[in-house]
Amino acid sequence: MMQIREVASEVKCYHCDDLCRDEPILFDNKNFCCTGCKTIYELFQDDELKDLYEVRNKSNPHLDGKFDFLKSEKIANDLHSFLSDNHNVISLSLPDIHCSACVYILENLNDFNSGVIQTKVNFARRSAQVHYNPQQITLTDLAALLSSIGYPPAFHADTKEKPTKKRNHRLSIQIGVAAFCFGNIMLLSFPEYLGIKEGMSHSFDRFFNYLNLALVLPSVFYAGRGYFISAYKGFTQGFINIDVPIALGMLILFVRSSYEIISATGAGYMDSLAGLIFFLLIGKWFQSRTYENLSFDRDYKSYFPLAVLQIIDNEEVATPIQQLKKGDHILIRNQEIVPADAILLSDEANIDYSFVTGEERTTRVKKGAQIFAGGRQVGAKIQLSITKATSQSYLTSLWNNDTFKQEKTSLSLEDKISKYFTGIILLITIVAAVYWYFYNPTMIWLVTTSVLIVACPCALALSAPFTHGNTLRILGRNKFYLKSADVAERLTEVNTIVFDKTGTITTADNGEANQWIDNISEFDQRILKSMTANSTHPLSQKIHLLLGKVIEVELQNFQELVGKGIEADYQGKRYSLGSALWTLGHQAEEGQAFFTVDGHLISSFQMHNSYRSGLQSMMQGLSSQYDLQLLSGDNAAEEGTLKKMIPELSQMIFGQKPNDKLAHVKSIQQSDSKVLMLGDGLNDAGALSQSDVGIAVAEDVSSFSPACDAIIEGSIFTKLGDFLRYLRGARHIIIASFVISFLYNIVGLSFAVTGHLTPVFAAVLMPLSSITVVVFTTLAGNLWAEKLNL
Amino acid sequence: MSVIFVLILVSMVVAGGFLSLFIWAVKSGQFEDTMTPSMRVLFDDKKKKKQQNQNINEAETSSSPV
Repeated sequence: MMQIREVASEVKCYHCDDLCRDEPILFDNKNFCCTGCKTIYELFQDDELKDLYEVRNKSNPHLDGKFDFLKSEKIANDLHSFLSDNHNVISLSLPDIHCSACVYILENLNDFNSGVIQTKVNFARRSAQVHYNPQQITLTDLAALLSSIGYPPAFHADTKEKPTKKRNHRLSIQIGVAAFCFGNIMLLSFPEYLGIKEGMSHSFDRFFNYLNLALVLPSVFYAGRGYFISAYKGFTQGFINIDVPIALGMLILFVRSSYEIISATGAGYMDSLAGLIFFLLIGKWFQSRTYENLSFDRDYKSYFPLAVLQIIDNEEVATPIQQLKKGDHILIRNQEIVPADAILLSDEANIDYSFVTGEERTTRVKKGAQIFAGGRQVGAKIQLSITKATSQSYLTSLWNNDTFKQEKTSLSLEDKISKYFTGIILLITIVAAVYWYFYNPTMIWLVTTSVLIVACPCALALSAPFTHGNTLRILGRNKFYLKSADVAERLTEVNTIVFDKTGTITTADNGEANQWIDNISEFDQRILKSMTANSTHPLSQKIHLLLGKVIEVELQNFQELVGKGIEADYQGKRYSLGSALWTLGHQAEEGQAFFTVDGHLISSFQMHNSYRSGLQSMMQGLSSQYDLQLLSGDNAAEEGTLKKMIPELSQMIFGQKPNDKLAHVKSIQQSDSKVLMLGDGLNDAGALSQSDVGIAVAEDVSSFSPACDAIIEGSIFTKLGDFLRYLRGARHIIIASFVISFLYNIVGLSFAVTGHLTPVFAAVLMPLSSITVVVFTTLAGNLWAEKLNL
Repeated sequence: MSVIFVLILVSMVVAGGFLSLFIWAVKSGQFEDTMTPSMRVLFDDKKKKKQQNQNINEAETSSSPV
């Protein structure tokens, strides 16, 4: 049996004590998760920082030319946020930041190069703002310096489109203003609450009331203006949303209270009004929690490079990919991405389309062949001639589809109810008005305004935001991140779930080479390792990885035959690794590789997908409620296995291109189904966008994920069923809290129609109903989560 | 009792001052990043010590007789 080195799965970093994500870095017999941690360890051993840098920089020859495109002034100017003779400011995305050691290293960048004036890291966004002196260090050198200490800055085609995304501050300020007004009005209303009238002159009364009136103005017209605007918009579109009754209630409260104060007939309900606005804004804030380190709207531009090398008059010039035209000649180096559809000018290229198709397989193409945008060159550098601009290319044209321009909207539960709610309230108001017209006409004004005030659906408007806000938090804690509360609502309506295969129901490393014929000698292992070292085929690379520390030997006559395999001579014997037909002369299952010497079998390897554990039980759980389907970009090799493993799948379609996936989702939707799509790559982007809810599955949530409505971490993917159950329960919680707020409304209305609504009563009842609803939704949501073990 | 007018107005001005401080804090981006400063706070000491050492060294070299 071949001894395979155990790939370290749970190694803790010596410095930061985090689990190592990738292969740990071994230094001084200790494991480190990143270069940053290793560097900081070294720093603690030796304080000679500059010496250290000298040593480190020499050991990075691979950086040659990688950041040359930053020398182009046009490109560099777009990236900076401030430029001057001796002080430039640039925001750099540094995806490798992941622990506090990284922050330390980067903020002390000045120790490495005195040209850096200051660095400020934003940990959550994995970015850093660097101030530097262009006289002492160029941007290219800065990028190389960052790379050399382990933080290569990421430059993508969308980098300059959102230099520094300023968060919207308005809501925070509105809440501040509303809280200020609410608190002060409450204090000034105390004499009114407690009935302290005696001993106070009339002028105090009036002073307090007018102060209240002055304080409520910013609350209503600044903090609460969003509700008026939204109600007006809804109204002009002939649609009564939840903001219509809210705005109506606020307006009536304001008009009646102002009237009472100015006419000196009463104290008004300014406290209730300010409280209402404050609570509503808090609800809004609670619901609008965003995940700063996640991005839900990435497209191909986040994956494509910022610039490529264009060949103009035999000179290499860095050109932004947006400026590439048909006929331009470009140079693509190893591991670089082809930015636009092109024709190959070099003799041969080896293109990995895994990002486009989802299938991990490199394709060898010959001179003159068409190469599609999104492919990654593996091997020597190649020359290409562009045939289509980037935005018109095959893969990227997916984003020209209308589905990316439409916003997914759905009518929220409270909006559905508000139409009836508003109708009923108006009806009650009219009935009460008619009654009092005959009974005591002087009361009409008092009663009608009281009804509208008390019926203001503040509790109704709070139940959904607080339930959704709580849901977002609980799911976020479980590593399932929703883009907005709206998504939570849409998720309860889906009835069809479509899965992508590779990377979604299989783990991202996409299988392992399983070696099933034993007795492979150390001698053969060494030959095998040397052979696979030279091949770019995914299976070869996996085998190479499996062999670990085996020492390589020198081979003769190595060659790789497309579609067949690799072969080489060693000590006069011919070794081959490849398909059954080619090595042994007979057919075998797909995805197998055979290792032979002079035609005799030594060993065979099976590449198989490793499915996520717990997948079967999850599918079983889901199948009772949802129609389950599978869409894969891969070939049908796994169909049999899948059929046996997940009999619940109603459809399995293989060989799907990005556009096919989009079309398939569309066709399901046409039969009035609501589709939930789960995918992981750019090839699923169309389908994710077209579906009612698109969830991206990511192994590491801060790495690339296509545009979607939610991101789920791969490790908890199989809990999807529980999440959906939780969301359905949350909907019931909202409905229950609607009932509670209606009950309060009935009590309040019975006081209002009989003309007994006093300011104190309103001031108690309205916050009380809001608080009841908030407490109920939060408690119920948490209990429900506990029950489902979330 | 009429001092209450003055007191309330003064308290309003004070409260208004805090409100404007809050608005300034939000606008100047102090709530933008709430994570990194919590890490940064641990590093400051070493930096200062180094500077002190440097100062001492400088002082020593400059005061040393030639």
